[in-house]
Amino acid sequence: MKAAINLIFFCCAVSYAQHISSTELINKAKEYDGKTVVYVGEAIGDVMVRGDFVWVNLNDGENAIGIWLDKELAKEIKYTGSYQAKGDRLEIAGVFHRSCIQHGGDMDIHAQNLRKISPGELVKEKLHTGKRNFTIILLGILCLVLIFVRRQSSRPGQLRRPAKLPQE
Amino acid sequence: MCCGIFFKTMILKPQLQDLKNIGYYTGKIIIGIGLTMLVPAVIGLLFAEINPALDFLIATEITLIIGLILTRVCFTEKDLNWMQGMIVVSLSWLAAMLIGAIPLYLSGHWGCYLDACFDVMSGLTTTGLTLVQDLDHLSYAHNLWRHFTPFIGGQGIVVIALCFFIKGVSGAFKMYVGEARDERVLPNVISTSRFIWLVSIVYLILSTLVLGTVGIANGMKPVNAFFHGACIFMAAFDTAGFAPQSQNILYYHSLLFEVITIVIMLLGAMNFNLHYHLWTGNRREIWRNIETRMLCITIVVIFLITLIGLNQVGSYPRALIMFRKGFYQVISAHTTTGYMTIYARQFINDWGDLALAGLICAMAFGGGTCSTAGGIKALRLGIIVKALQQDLKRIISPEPAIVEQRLHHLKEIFLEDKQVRAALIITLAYLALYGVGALVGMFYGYAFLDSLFESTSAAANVGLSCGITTPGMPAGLKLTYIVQMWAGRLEFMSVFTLIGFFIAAIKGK
Amino acid sequence: MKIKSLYNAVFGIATEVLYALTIILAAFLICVAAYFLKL
Repeated sequence: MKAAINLIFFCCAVSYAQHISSTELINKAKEYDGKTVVYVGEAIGDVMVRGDFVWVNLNDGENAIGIWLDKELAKEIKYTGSYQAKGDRLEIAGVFHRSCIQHGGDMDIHAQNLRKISPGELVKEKLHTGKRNFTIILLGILCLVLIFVRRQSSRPGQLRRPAKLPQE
Repeated sequence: MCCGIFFKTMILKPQLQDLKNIGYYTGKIIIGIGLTMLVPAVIGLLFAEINPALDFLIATEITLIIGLILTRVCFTEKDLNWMQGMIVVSLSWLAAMLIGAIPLYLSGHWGCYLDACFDVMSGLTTTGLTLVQDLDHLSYAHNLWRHFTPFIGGQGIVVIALCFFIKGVSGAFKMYVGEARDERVLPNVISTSRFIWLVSIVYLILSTLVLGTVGIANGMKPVNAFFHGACIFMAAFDTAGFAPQSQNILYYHSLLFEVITIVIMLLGAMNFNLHYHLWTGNRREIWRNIETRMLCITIVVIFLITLIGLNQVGSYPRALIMFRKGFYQVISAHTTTGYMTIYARQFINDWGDLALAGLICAMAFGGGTCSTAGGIKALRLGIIVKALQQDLKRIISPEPAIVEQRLHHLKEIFLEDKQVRAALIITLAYLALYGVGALVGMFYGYAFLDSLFESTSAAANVGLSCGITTPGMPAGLKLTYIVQMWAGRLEFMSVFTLIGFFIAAIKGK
Repeated sequence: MKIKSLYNAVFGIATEVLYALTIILAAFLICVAAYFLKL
């Protein structure tokens, strides 16, 4: 029953509000303040559990916006974006706040519904062979330079005297 | 004060010995910077980030090759004079920027090499303006380097060199002064440099533990909590303003986190000399010192102005919101950190002109001298205020009376005209720099207040942005801000000396 | 001597942190006062 009500509400929210970018939300914050919006973005960083709710920041490629959502809804989130992973791409519908009174003035969206558009995944890092080769070549050059520098400084007549500590 | 430079009336062409001295010591500093890049390389390997680790190994190798060749070719046992010392400082900072940009550019997260140079100069000068793209997917290694550059630059590249590489050379003092550290904490500059690092390391350990614990309590994974804790400390204590995520401090959505960062920012804006006095038993100095008093007064006055301005536009209707959004940005500006709990465009959309004017003043004034903060600085403002008091007393006193003005800065000082003159000249130089940067911004089509905001942010090494600093910014403006950040951090003298050196090379006899 | 140095350092850190917290408290009180006085 609850799921059905949520689905109806979500459909109403989607039909009422358009899919909106973070840049537009930030630039027209006063216009959208208090309104229901639909926002799509990749979950990044940590899903931060705070009691019965969580904070998750969604990045739509332009900016990241903080989403405050129910712990139950957050269970859908499996991957968050970092260097080693591509985060779940999520669509949320909720009330946008320019300066949320509940959260110390943060610009946020209190999500009422969440839908996973595409799942995230771990990113397998491929060794960049060009960089590896370049590293090895440079190491060779560095060794040669070190040998050259050592030879020059150990030649007779070029012994260095230690400098005196000055009186300042 | 840094007043001991004498410019000859007849310009002499630089000699071979000048070039050798400059080349040798710059080479040593370059080697030092190359070695510091091994730290992110190791972190990259620890987190199994192979390509980032390679980026840093490549950069280290290139740097060591250049540094070793330079020190060999320019080998000298002669000591530095004032001019050479100043030039070593300004050149080293440029070299550090070019070198430090290599691994960032190789990561692919910066649009071009100029953008990478911009971020490194921003880091070294502890500004915090950034042109990074897709920061939320940046590797631990590259992110650590971003936060490490303020840690190196804030304490002073030359200061590092003095600690480890240059032992017992009287030119060390000239370089130390050239890096805008005109106060020695301990009798020997090398001991001073080591004390500065002791304070930094102690606070690094304490703050990482505290921030990491708070991070875990806030729901972050332990590895992230402590990594972020260390990075946030380095950027806060060095009043830089970089954060590991694109939302800056807003990412954490945490009042406790914000309060802790405010404490660290204020600690970073304190004179290292003051830290020394407080840490060795002279705790009364905290309320006797002219800088701590000036900071208190200017923070409160500017916050009041900003608060009135914000209330006029009705942006932050509750007390706690005014504190977390209004005061946080003011303290971030005044300590010249640049941490933000709002988005850049909100300055223009939500703040109104009066509040923005207050914020620009906060940025312009800056933190304490001989700290990691930028701006005109509290001691100079204090000297100017005392000089005004002295002049007022002179006017109302009977003519033959001698009016003495005292101020307390670590010890009782009688205000002399040469101190006032030095303070006024550097203050004027900063104001001119803020203005020139604003003009360049307007030349590129940006609005007056936006341009002045961003220019002041760059020149005072703050890092707050109202939206001008983006990868799509004109290249000319990127170069302008790089020069502003560099000149502002070195407090002009070593930059002017470098310019003078080139003029002498062309025009000299 | 070393214990005295450690004691001084610890109390020095405490003094600095207290200075920062005082400024923070003053700012918060200004916010509260402004809210009630409708500045």
